[in-house]
Formats: sequence, structure tokens, C-alpha cells
Amino acid sequence: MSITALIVDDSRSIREVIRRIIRISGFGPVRCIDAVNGKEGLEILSREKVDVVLTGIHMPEMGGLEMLAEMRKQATLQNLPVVIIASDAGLRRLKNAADLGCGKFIKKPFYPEEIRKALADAGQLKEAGPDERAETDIDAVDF
Amino acid sequence: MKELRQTLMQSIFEVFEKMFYIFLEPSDVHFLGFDVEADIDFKGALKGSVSLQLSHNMIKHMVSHLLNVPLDQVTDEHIQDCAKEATNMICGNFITRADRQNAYDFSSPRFFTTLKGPWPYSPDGKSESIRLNFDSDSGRASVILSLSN
Repeated sequence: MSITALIVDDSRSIREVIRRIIRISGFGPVRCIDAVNGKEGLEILSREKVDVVLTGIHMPEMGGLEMLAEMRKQATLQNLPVVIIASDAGLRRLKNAADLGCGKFIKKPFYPEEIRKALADAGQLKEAGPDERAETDIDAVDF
Repeated sequence: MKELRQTLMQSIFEVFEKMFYIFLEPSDVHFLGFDVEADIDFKGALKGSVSLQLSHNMIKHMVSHLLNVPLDQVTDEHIQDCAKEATNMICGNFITRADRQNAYDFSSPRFFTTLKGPWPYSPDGKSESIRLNFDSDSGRASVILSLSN
């Protein structure tokens, strides 16, 4: 069964990097959908079944935390796993994210392993086979 | 300012090494002839901007390493997006290190192919600035932190 990941970031480069990390991470089939900001992310969530969301914070029109706040108001999206990937990782920002039920906050710059681990921890993406990769430094914040 | 300089240096190294696999060497030489520049404003307990100036060779290598594309397939769109994202990461990482307690607002990164002028520049005449220069096998880079009073 295919899993769907929504990647929300205004940088095309970052969306491509995340998509590539997911592709090479040894998960089963994953369908990736892109959005350039929170508003577009919400539109996609209203019509697509998404299993996990990876989002930045600062984006034009609607940022990641505003999108997350809107998601939590909707019964169908209240428990959807969300991973925030952002360079702005001040304590208030982390608290805001945690208060909105963000399960994982990955600081940019990141190692590919941090994205892989966050997705595995989100519980939606199961690894397809034995994972023989060595653990690298993890620079992500668990709540 | 000395402490901020060290903090900025750490952020730059972390971004270039983790995201672009490029190992920079600090340089005392103020290089001229950069080809592209991106900048971003931040506002909080500290207020100012971070500018990243890059040689054409450097930004092409950054794109190539980040996106795993051959150098001859790097496009102008890649260059613009990558320069802006690198600036965003350096600024966010720097602010998180320099002042983790407070919340900050950030502008959208801007991209230029015409540099803003010789350093030191002070658009409002009230800024203090730090310039860090780097050389590498992949090209040259400078980062300018401007703090408004």
C-alpha cells in the first residue's frame, strides 16, 4: 500500500531534497505531493488523503505554523503526523510547534538521516527492508 | 561583536558542510567580483540582515551537491533558489544560536545578480556590520551581517 507525504516549503530545492531523501530511505512506495505554502497545503489536505506532512515555517501567504493551527481545528486532520523542518528553531518557535501537536522539529541544515528517522518515528512510513545504514548525529528535537 | 562573529562563523560552516558538502576556509582577503548575492532581514531583540555573496563557481557547486545534478545542468532557477535558501539557513541558524529565547520575524530572502555595492555598506547609515570571507575548492563566498541600532 502506498503512503502519501505532503511536502510544504517555498523553496523548490528543499522540496526536491526531501523528496529524494524519502525516495532513497528504504521506505516502501511513497507518493510525494508538493505545496509552496500553508494555504496550498491546506487545499491539498482538503482533497487528498495524506499520511504525513513535512513543512517549513516561514512561507509567503501562509506559514507552516498557521497551516498547522488550521489543521488542528479540523477533526479529520487533528492527529495527522507533522514534521517541521526549519532554520528558525528558537525556544518560542519550538513551544508553538509543540503546542500545536507537532511531533518532530528538524533544524536546518539537516542530515538526510534526520528526515528518515523523523518519518520512521511518525509511524506512517515503514521501512521496506533491513536497514543497514549507520546512525549519524541526530539534530532533531523530540517532543 | 567578536562573539557574534564567532557564532556567525559556526552557522556558516554548519550550513555549507551539512547541506552542500563544501568545506570553507576563512580568508582575510576581501574578494571582489562575486556574481550573485542573496539577503534576508531579521527582526526581534536583534535587528538587521544577512547577505551571502557567491562566485558563480561556488553557487553552481552548491546546487550540484544539494540536488545531485551535474554542473552543466544547473539552471538559473536552481541558482536563485539555492542562494536564497542558503541565506535563509545561515540567518535562521545564526539567530537560533545568538538568541534562542526570543521570537524573530524574517523577511523572504531576496536574490541579486548585481551586488549592492562595496563593503562596508550601511543603507541607513546606522548599521554595524561583520564581513566573513571564505575560499574553497568550489569557489569563494562572503557573508555580511548588518545589525541596525
